[in-house]
Amino acid sequence: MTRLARLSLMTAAGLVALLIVGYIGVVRPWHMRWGATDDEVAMRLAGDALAAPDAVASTRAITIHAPAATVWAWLVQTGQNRGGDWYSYEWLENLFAAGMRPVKGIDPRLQDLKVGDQLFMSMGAASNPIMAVRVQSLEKDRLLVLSGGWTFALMPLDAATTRLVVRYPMRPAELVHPALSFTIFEPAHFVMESGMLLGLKRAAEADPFLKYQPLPPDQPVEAQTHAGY
Amino acid sequence: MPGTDSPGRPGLGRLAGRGAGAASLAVLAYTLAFLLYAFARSGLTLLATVNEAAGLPATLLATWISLSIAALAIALLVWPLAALVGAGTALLIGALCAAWNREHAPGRALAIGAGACAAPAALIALALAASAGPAWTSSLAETLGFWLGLPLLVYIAAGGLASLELNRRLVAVRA
Repeated sequence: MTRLARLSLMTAAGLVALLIVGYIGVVRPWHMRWGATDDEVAMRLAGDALAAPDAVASTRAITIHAPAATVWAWLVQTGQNRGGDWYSYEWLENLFAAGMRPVKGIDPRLQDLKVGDQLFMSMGAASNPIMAVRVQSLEKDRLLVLSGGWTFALMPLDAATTRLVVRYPMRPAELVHPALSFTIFEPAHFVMESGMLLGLKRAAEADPFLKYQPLPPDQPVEAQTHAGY
Repeated sequence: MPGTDSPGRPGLGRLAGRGAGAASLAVLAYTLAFLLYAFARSGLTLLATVNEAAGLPATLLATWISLSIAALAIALLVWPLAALVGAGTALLIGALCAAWNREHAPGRALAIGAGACAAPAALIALALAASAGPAWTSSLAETLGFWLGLPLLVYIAAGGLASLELNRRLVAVRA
């Protein structure tokens, strides 16, 4: 091995070591509570009772300048089998065969979400249940609890502003083995979940008071969506 | 066989080691290329949504570092298989060049290297296309393109270049 090659290898190893130390020491503690206040992190949420005893929970939050009813209208459309995606980085999800397609607007047919309904994380979820989550409980405009205790809590700050708090209890073997969960699932989940919260914010704030007028049911659903998003 | 019939020709172990090394570099290069693409796309999304007061620099940095950790962990999982394929391919290219390129023509060396990689790559692509059948969608094509299509192109290019490099070294030794 030449001196230059040895130097390059050592530099690369040093950079990777720095990346790992930076992630564990600084980034991970920060992203596990991205956007959340101390109170929100400490707060008991409805899904906590469903979390596995050894789960490590992330609590992430965002302020959305739209009424809770608007945020709810977008939130209940979540799922590859429903609105089409999870409002996150669709291009990244589709590299993993998720089959996501952008949600174009509020679909009145998707507003009646019920306990037991499935939300697909990928297009293969029909034959691979591990890629779907089920609605465990819900309270319109306030709370959505999915499998494993994944909780979306909507808290109105005033008539036109909503705080969305999301808690995800991650099991150590979420991705086959704790080491894979820690190095692949957890950072990827942060990227996707923060992307989802930002996507919901973008969608809800585009038309906070839902000025669209649903058309008669015989109209194609594309015509019923408002033009704001 | 390389290393047994000609002095100066690299031995089998050395050839396999070089092949494994080249494959490891190719995995690293592909991971870095993906990360650059992912940084750009996620960065554009975040720039459009998060304002500076809401923590844009920190969110951007955390997103990029998290993407890097996950991508490098996946690369680490793929690496042993890639190294094995690289070692096997290097031995195959060495044997083919010894048999069919005794005059050390660079063009033929390039063709042998690229061809040795293109043949299995084409078989894999055809088998996948046949098995996917009517289930073939643009989304599936995107997924397979990322996990298989582009890596196979890198594999073919690396095979050609490695064969050319092997040929160059053999010419240098002979001279």
